[in-house]
Amino acid sequence: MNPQASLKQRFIFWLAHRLPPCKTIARLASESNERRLTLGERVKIRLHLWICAWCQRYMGQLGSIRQAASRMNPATVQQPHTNDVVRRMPTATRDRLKNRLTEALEDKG
Amino acid sequence: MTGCYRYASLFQLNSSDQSVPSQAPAPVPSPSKLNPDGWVDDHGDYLFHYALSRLRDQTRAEDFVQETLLAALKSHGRFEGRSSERSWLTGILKNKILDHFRKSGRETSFTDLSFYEDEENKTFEYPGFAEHWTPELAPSDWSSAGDSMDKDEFWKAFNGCTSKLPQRIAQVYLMREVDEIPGEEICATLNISQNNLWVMLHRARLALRRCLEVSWFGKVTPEEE
Repeated sequence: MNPQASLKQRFIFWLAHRLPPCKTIARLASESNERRLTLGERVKIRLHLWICAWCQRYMGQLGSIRQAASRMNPATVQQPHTNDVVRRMPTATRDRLKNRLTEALEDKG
Repeated sequence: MTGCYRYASLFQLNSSDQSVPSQAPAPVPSPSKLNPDGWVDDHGDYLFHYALSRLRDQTRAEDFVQETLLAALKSHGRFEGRSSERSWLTGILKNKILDHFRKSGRETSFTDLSFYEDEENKTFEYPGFAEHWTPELAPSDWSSAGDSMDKDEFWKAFNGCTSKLPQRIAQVYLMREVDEIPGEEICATLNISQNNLWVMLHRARLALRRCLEVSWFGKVTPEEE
């Protein structure tokens, strides 16, 4: 370590070496959506986030992406996205489907 | 006095609940109002997109949409208007695709996973500080993005990025995050272990975040190999 490092820097360095690395924190961040983390894991994450801006961002961004993804779910959304966002069905397919459905409707009626 | 008042209002609430008949049941669309052409026009693209992003095979996606609409036609009486027409149709399609996954069984190729293992290792290679973020690949600040996650550009990037994930991982990710199916159910459907599922989800989230940062947020990619 740089001998000129301030006390604060030394402390952060000391702490960082005693906490799980970012790789582990990233995995736990993901798993926190799948299971309840243990108290120990939560404490380690909290301390790690305290000194690591990158993992702070990662946590926040995972949350935003997760929220955004759930907005693609038609069951929870009044007006799901259309227009440019979805890949369009080819016109030929559309016509074929309509014909097929009309036939089926006639059979039924 | 306020206490009494609160009770009074409670009683009022109760009595009004009893006297007023519950809301009229949602109208059940009668078969005469069936408009399958309208289904194709209104929801065709969405259903097609849904099927395609999960199956990655255009012909198969078309077949699934057709089967879905035919099944919907048959069971139309069961549509009670509780949900929107689109989510009703999507529900049928979703079950058909899940069934397909269930039957296609355990075709998991672990090459996908090992690819993502390499990715993950590359992401956490801080020089001299093992398993911390590689500086060029670390998350950048998205706060300037603000509300733009609602915009079409974001959705385009999202679709592009999920379609770049290996198929199996994308399937699992979309089931979990878009369809919001509980993890246990996904494990049972795909016949994979919980740990396997968690690993796949983690790799998907990691890769997707990075991809979004590059393609939507516009961060310059460091030299790709």
